[in-house]
Amino acid sequence: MSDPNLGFIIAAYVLGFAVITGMIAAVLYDRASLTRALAKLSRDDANGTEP
Amino acid sequence: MWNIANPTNFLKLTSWLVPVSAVLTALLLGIGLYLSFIAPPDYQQGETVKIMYLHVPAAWMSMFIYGVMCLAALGTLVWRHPLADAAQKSAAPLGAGFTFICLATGSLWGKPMWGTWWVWDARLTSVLVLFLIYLGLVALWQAIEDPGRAARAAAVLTLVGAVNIPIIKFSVDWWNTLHQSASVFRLGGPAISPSLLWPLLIMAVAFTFLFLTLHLMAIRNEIYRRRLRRLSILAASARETDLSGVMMEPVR
Repeated sequence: MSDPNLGFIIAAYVLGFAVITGMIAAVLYDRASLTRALAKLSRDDANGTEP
Repeated sequence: MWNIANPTNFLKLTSWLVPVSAVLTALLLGIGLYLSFIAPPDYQQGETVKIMYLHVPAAWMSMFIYGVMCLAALGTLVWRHPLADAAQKSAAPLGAGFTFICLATGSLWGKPMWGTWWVWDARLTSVLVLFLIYLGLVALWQAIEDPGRAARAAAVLTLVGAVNIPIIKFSVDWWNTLHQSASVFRLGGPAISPSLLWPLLIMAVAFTFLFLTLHLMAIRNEIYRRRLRRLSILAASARETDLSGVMMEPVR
């Protein structure tokens, strides 16, 4: 594929998939931090310590 | 619908639906990208038309997600569906993401085809307004601490903002715009060649599954966030009760 506008095509795909990757990463990071916080809360509750 | 309103039932549903949907998304994206790259060039635009396979599905998703949010807003205000707030809150950042892809890829497509990155025509401006509405909704959810009040305020704003969706759709018919008129969803049927249409439709289905997967995951996160909030409040009130019990004990 040799096109004078190849740079624009590549930039569009790189940018699009960077945003998609960012959305996936944000949801996964949120899940991990919530699971960690819930586990910590139940551990503190079991030990009788302050969260 | 009411059966999955119970968060426990919803979590059970997502435990198998999210992996299935994720696999379908990856499969459809793979097929869609492959077909997009072997699709013939457009007779006028050449290979630059490949940006369409990302830009157009993202544009459709930006409006589809807003439709989902309107339904969720009705669920909050009219039917008091227990998961409607969570569905609405978790869809807003995803809608903003897809709208950003639409705007950015549109700009990258516009520069070589129109000779400009941006023009204040009705279609582009109304999509920019949609992006700002999404950001406003995300900010509103963050600004109000009580989730119930935040949900009602966001639901009202979502329904008011719905007026922008028909404006986006029909802007190219109502005003003279640099943006082309509809070429897929129109009365006389699609105006583009099937060799370009099929990859586009597959990419659109892939994006729909991507949204479904991310939305289910984000709603699940929202359920966990509420559980965490409830447990933190319970733990804090239990500590307070213990403390006041100690203080009230008579000194012997």
